[in-house]
Amino acid sequence: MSIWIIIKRELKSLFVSPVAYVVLGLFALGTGYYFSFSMQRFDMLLRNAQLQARMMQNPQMLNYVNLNSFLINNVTSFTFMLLLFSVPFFSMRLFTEERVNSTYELLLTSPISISQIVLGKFFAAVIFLLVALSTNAVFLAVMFSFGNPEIGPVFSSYLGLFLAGVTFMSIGLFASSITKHQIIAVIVALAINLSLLMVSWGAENAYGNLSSFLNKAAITTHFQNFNQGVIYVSGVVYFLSLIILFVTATQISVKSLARN
Amino acid sequence: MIEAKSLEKKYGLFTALSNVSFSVNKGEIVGFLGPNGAGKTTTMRILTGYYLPTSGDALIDGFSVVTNPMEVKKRIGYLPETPPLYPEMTVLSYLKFILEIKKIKKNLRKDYLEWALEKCGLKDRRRSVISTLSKGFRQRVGLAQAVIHRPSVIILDEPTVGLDPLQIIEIRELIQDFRKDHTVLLSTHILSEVTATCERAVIIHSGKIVHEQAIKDLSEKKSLEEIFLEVISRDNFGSNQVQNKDLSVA
Repeated sequence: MSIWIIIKRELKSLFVSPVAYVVLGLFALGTGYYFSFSMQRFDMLLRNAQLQARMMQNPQMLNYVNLNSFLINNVTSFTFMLLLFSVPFFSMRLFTEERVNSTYELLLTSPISISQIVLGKFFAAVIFLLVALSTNAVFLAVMFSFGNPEIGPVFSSYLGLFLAGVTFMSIGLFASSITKHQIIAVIVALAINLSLLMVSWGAENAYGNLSSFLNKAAITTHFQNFNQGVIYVSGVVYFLSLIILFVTATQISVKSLARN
Repeated sequence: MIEAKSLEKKYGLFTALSNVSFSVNKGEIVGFLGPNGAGKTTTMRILTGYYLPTSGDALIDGFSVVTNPMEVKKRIGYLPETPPLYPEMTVLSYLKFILEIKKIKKNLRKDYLEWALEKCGLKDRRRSVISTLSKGFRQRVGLAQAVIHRPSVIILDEPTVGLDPLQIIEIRELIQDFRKDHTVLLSTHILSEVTATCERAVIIHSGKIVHEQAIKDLSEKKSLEEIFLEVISRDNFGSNQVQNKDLSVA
């Protein structure tokens, strides 16, 4: 119940601030532009394939150029990268403003536990992420009305995007709880996100056992699985583990503020 | 009621509080005095459950801040030095949030809200966004937040700072209203506030309680100011001498 009170307050504050709209707007702009750019590229691909198919008298070739792999997957891969870089900006206000406003004293002297405060903010952030991802709904609407992509892989891609986004949000939540400056929260969150990305670069160049270990630890591997329509339990566990890790870390950081 | 029992608070090697013991009975209003850095805010933070003491305990209405902090927090209203406000919220939505977070039942909320707006002079400002309010009005909202849920124990850290003389009188009346059924501990630097409102004054210096004074025992010969300065300098210079200062305060 108290969690819901915190969620409500947090969402009200989030959507009253211009920062939320600027960031959401830029996110929508980025994905929108990439979508229309991808559409044009897909159009070209399709024409080429049609030409080739006619030349080789082989209509089977056209099956290769399908909407899912060449359009939707591109957009979702791009959105994944965009999330990696923009979620720190979504989450920077979450705890830094409590320090700035001195409202920690209010929250921690009220009959509400630290877990409820942290989870309240976390869920408010998740709801905000859902709003951001729903700006992609326009593309899906367009694609489903003018074409017929397979719905299964699309669902799987967006599940992957959601899990990845929540992971980045929990990292951002933690980063915002360790400082009172929003800019430091952004930098720390970006640093952690980039380190997760760099694991995948290492995986590319390694050999043998190290390579397979790094591959399993890399966030891009797991997301690509989702993107290709495969929902592995290990992928879900991977994201959930990171989420739980960072939300717990946030709790510890908030507790230490109360000098407990 | 409030009972502080041998509270000690250390930050590494630095001792902020040592052996702080005092009590405030139900229905009493006690003033908490001391020079800056003496430990008033630290003590209040321990009493409200924000900090944990290194050793010792404090009982709020019989509940320990160490073992039972949730029960303590249900019974407390606290105004910290900086009023804990969310600048983007309106006064009304902020106070509604306070009522929710202090777990006041829905059917009581409207009454409590109107009462607090009335008592703190916020009726005309209910729809103002907090960041647009002047310091005095922000202080009033902070005060409203501390008392709106009619807690049994009210702890105020410098409640009249930033208020104009008329507001100070109104706040004084508000605090006095709490006399019978509530327990009030307030800290201030304005000694006239203490003599006007409180039954007792507790003086803290360098983390130790150095003096307790019942206001009615003050005679014309020794004002609270003189006692304060005497008690403070006793520790500073290890002697009983009071510096020959001009004791009139602006």
